[in-house]
Amino acid sequence: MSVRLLTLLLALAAAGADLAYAQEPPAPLPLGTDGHGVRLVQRGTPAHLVVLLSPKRYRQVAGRALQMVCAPVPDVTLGADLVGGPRHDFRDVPRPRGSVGAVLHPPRRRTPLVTRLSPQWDWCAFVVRTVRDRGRVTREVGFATVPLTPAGAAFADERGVALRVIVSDLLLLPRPERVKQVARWLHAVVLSSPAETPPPGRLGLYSDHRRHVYAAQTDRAGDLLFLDHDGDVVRTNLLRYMQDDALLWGL
Amino acid sequence: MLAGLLLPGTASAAEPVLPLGTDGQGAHLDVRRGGPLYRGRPVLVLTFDASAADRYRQIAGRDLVVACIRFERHPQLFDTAAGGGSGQLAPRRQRPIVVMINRRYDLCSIGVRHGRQTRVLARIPLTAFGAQRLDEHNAAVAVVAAVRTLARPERPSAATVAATFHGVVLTAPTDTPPAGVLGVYSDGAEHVYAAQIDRSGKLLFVEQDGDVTRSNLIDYLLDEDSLGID
Repeated sequence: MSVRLLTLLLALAAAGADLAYAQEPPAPLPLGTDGHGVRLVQRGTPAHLVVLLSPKRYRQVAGRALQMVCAPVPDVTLGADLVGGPRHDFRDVPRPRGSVGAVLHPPRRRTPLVTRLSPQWDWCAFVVRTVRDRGRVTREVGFATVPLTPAGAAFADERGVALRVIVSDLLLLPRPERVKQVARWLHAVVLSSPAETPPPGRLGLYSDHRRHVYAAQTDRAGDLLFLDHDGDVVRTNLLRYMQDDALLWGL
Repeated sequence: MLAGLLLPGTASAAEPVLPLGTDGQGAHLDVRRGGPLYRGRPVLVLTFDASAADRYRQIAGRDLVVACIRFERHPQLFDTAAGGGSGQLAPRRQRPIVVMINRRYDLCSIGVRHGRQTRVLARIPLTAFGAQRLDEHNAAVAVVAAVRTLARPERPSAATVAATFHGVVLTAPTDTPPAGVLGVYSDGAEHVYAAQIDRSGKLLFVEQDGDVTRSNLIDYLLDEDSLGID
């Protein structure tokens, strides 16, 4: 479990989660770009995806292996039996179900990175792979997430908020009396009760300093995502993210 | 997880809710004094009685895997329970098998390895606490399976699912099922509920209302190995 928390924290850091949220809910994520110099465009016939990187972002991947994965928005319900058995190896970044992937090898000089992937997907994600001897992948660091459709943008945003809510809850659960400390670290607001709604786009934390811990945040669509631990009873609308590591913090 | 809802008139935690040292189907795990190899220390010995000869054939000559665990009495969030395991070839002819040194384990699982997978044949509680956890596990598995069936996209009726799981239909999620019997509720759309009272009197439930899930079986919903031995 502690390995899982550490992994989630690393994923949160690698995802470059924006800890300081504005008071107003931000605008929807732009399509085809991560907003920080990574763009995905459609070229050729049949259409395929081409990755365009700004000079600064290109320097981060030049001469290295760039793993790219594109996937549809998952349709997960409690009865869909999409969840596999328990996964004991948390070293590898999991891949979402139904996804396709490619490993790109950007040359030293900046150039568009042409892929064979079709543009039919809802979102794509990139990690930079560090490959050591005998082709073994030793490290994968999150690079960018690019939504391609409005549904993909909504999913990418919801996933980021879900990761933030779940991690904050896991941080608070072992030491519920430190709610102010955790809130300060995550730039969150302390709620006076679980019935209170945090400001739009801002993480809210509640603790009774004993066995009741609650974390919630609204995403860009205005939905309140929450995780409520009251003793051994859990109430949440994030179960699909908790059930599937690939959905929560995978590529 | 252990501090749950205790209903009046149910067994206390001091009385074992399941028989100890047996799975009730002919497999027994006894603590005996070990021979010279074990320097007289207590060991766990696996035996099958005469009525379970056909069960012994499932392990005879095969790769036997025994995993045991001692649970934390006051678990914290990141505590891990102490456990032990052993692997050996089971003798072809039926006889007592010394599986490992006993370290006051609560619960053991007996399995047979097939390639990379292990098929569990029996789970045997050794203490009252282990029996309580095993009973809770059995009830929880049934509750989670029932609610997953209720929440399938085709939305089977509560009566169908109750018949499948030998349970009863609840008129509302606030109803409590009879002790030891699975209760299911469905409004035919977005609201499903399954619950069962285990032998220690704790109500185990999962409720799904639209996107919101409420449960005291989150480990089972996350498919984590809650017993830690399988």
